[in-house]
Amino acid sequence: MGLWQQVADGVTGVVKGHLVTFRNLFRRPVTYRYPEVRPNLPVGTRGMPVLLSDDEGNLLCTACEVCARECPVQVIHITAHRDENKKKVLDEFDIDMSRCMFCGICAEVCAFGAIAMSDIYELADFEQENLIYNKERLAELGRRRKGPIINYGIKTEGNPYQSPAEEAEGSAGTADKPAQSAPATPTAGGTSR
Amino acid sequence: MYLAATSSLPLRLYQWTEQLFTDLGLPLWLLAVLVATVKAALIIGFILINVIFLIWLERKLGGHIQNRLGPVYTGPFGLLQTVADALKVLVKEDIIPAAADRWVFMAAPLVAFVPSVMIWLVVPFAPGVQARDLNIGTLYVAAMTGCTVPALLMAGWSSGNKWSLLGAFRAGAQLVSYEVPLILATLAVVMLAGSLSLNDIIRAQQESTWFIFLQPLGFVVYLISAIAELNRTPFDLPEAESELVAGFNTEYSGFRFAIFFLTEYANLLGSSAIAATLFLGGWSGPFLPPFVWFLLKTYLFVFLAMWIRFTLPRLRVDQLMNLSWKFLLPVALINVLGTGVFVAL
Repeated sequence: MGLWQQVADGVTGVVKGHLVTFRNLFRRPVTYRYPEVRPNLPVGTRGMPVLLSDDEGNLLCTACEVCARECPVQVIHITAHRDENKKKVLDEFDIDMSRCMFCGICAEVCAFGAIAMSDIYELADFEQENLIYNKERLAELGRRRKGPIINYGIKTEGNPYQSPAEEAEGSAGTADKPAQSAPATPTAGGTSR
Repeated sequence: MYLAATSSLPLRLYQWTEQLFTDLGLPLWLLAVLVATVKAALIIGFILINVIFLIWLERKLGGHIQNRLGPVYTGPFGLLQTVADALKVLVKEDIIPAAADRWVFMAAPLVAFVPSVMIWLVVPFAPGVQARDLNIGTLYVAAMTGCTVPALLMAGWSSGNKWSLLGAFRAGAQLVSYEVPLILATLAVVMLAGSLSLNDIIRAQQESTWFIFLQPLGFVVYLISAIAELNRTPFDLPEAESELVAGFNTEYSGFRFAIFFLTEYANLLGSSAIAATLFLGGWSGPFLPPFVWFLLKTYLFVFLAMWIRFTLPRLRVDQLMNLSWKFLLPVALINVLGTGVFVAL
């Protein structure tokens, strides 16, 4: 390749590159201004795992402990006792969200469809203990389910910023006091959706 | 009409002050010092305001070219982002490394900053609005841009850090290499205008046409060399972060780093103003006031520099040297030769 060919190639390349950047200068930016604009996550997004209930509000979980055994980081702790019919009854179901890696295996292995991955992902908290979610909190989040279960995932409704305690107290105007029971989802910023 | 409006008010102010000085019996050299101080303050103020805007513009343009937003939160459209950054960097600790050559290290940013301001001595903002119309204006500009090299070498050497030193070496080699085509490109313009004074060059362009149309090759050579002189992105080897941490300003922090940063953008603005004067006819233009024309043309060159920055990747050291000595220099020489023939005819 001769020198003039090289020079011509170099110049056309540079000019083409500049046209590309110039076009992009006037394209709409793809940035989400996150706290104000929230992404519309698809069903099946792996947020935090929640416990699902049946129509009467009873947990689907049968305390078979498959999820606890399959959990790669072993953050699920289950305690159960047997009732007079030798049937297992769930006492405690804790997930330590500070160590959960959102792999979704617990939801996949559950034979009763009792765990699903929700679209809740804003989990930061000032207290580490608050990240250990107990049975009641997981069930409450599970009852926010909206729509079908797809790919072991669900969508939830309700303001992800506000804890149930704050939602209840919010109308009474005492939302600034931290609730005694740990918030179901962390409060951050206090911006409305 | 505009010439009268822009030049008579300062003139009347000057005459009034002169009268005041003679009435009070003050020596006239004091008046000269006062006038010089006022001019310097105005120029530095102009530079500071524009640099604040330039840094914002660079981030905003870069953002939008990359389909991002750039700064948005501080002030309207993020305009106060630079103010916030400047405040942040000014309250930081001024760290001087134990291995550094203390006094040289402390002096280097100031030595770098002075020539970037000195260039503005000869920049014609509008007819009659110029700190001093030197008859060797373009030569003076070339000399002042050359003064940046010792400052960068001082910074690199005195840091006592291998990255800084390598960055300074690269800066030295690069600035010396690109000075040559830069001056040759300027030379062709000077040949066309028949004067080294920037005011005369503008007047020559008013009589014929903008020199960018007579000197397209010269403009391209000037553009490339000027960007290399400014250490901006296709040629940012002296501070290539992926190779040299930050080059000659690796060890600088706080106020001294801010001065280096300010110098970089002041140089960009200075080169743009000179390019606007040499090739785009400076303040001359229809309808709008001359100062607005001057700003518009300056910012056109600034935009070009930023556009190039966000398009082209960094060159290798050998490519950098090849481009200067094997390509730009012959092209600039041929351009000078052609211009000579053109002028002789």
